[in-house]
Amino acid sequence: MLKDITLGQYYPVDSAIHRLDPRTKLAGTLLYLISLFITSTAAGYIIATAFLGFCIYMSRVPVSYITRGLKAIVVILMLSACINIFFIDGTVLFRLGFIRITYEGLITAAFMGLRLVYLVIGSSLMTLTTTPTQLTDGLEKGLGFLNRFKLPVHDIAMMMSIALRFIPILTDETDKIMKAQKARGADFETGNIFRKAKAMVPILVPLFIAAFRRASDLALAMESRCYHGGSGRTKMKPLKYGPNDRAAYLVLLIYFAAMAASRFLY
Amino acid sequence: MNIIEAARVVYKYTLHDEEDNVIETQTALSNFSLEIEKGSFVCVLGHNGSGKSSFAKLINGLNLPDEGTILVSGRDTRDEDNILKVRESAGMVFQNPDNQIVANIVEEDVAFGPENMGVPSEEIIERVDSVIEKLGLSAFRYKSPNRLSGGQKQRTAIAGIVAMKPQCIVLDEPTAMLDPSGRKDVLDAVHELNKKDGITIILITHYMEEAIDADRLIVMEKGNIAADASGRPLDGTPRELFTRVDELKKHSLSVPVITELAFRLKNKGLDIPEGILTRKELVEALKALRDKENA
Repeated sequence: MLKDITLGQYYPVDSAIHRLDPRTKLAGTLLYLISLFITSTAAGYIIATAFLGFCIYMSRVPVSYITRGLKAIVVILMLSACINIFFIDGTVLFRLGFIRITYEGLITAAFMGLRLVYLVIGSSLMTLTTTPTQLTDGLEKGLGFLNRFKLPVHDIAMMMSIALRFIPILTDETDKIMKAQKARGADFETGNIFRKAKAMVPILVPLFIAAFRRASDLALAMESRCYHGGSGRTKMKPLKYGPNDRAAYLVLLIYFAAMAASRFLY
Repeated sequence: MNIIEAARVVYKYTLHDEEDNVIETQTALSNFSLEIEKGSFVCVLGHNGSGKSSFAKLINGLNLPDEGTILVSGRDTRDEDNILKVRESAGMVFQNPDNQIVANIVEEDVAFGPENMGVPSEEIIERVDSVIEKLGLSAFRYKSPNRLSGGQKQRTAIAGIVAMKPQCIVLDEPTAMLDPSGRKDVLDAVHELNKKDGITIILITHYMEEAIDADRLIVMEKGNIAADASGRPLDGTPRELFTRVDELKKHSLSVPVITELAFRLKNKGLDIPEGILTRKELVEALKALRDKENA
């Protein structure tokens, strides 16, 4: 049951977006998120919608697949909509007892909702089109300049990719421990939430011990394969910007300029 | 030519309590000397605590000897400038396949060693291509290691070592966690590397069956090569050693069933040769015996 958990739900098709350098996609996502926060006009939202639609179309990931990620934020969406609709002052459109709805409230609620939805879709579009390995590679190379500030970028990226590798192994292990404890009468299903949480503690102890043991084994194996940090290390497939990436950066720049203009010109 | 030369090696490990006081010191290897010829297939047997794993880690420079020296293709493992070269020429495969695969994709894991060595990208791709082909991993090349069976994972781990182009591979109980078919897979792969590419293999195991096909067999006990009652070391070809079934049993090592059967038949007075290893040999011997009696 725990095996079904996947992290970074990569959608394997071959598209222009999939083939982009992970650094381009990371930068693009970041710029897109920023652009959502600097705009506040209808024109801005139209541009953002068009750009997102264009990216989704290019990525060849089905829209239904992308919007799946929205389920997680339904509650937050409703909450923010309610607060905006009922608590913002302005021209009253409708009044019932102490409840009143204003024109400004509706507008803000709509914009805030859209902003949240686009944030989630934008970032999941990146994880859908980039494998975890590409992502860590992209972070390592893209943040390489931080090395100058004595930040161990390579080590952090290595840790991330090892963590990704061991997530399914450790979930498997958790499953095994739970089954072993159930076989000896442990009860994980009944009782209130506190009791359930308390029942989890005996799982964590053996899980941690197993994880440390694995870590020590892995460290030995890495050392025996000549691992000695990032210095002097080469890559089988080094990241390289291609003509597509240059085109993507150009599109991004135009988009960002348009978004900035939509805020300051109107 | 010897690829590995261990001379009077002593290796101890100490156990500490929380305050870093020494609780006890155990001697894993005591005055241990051994030479291993290049291109040979050596099988090291022994039960837990006999020092065989410590020996494996000493070859790779993961542990350093307290006394004595270990030379790996002429390089002293204690010299820090040598250590990467030592690990390059003597690769190591561990018991648990899950705990030695680093990357999330098979092909990337195979490339991990060469990447660490600083091999240029084009050459890494060439090496990965040929190694993946050689170990029959083409179908899994772009898969996650988590989707592989135990035997396939262990072959991936071996591929990762072979891609470093080592002269020697040390395998520390590589089949202990595998099912019989996975075990056969791994052993076949290792034998092929030995025969076709001339890579020296040091296989550490406690399965006697795996030792039959080795060129040389070494039994270890209490941090050294075990000796029989007359002081002769238990070190030789499998055929030589398996004639001494009683001695092996004294070191709580079980011999292969066929060898045991032949040994008992001989003890009962049947006139068959010593050191029979395979079913085929036993059948031949019994046939010869029948023909002789018929004649």
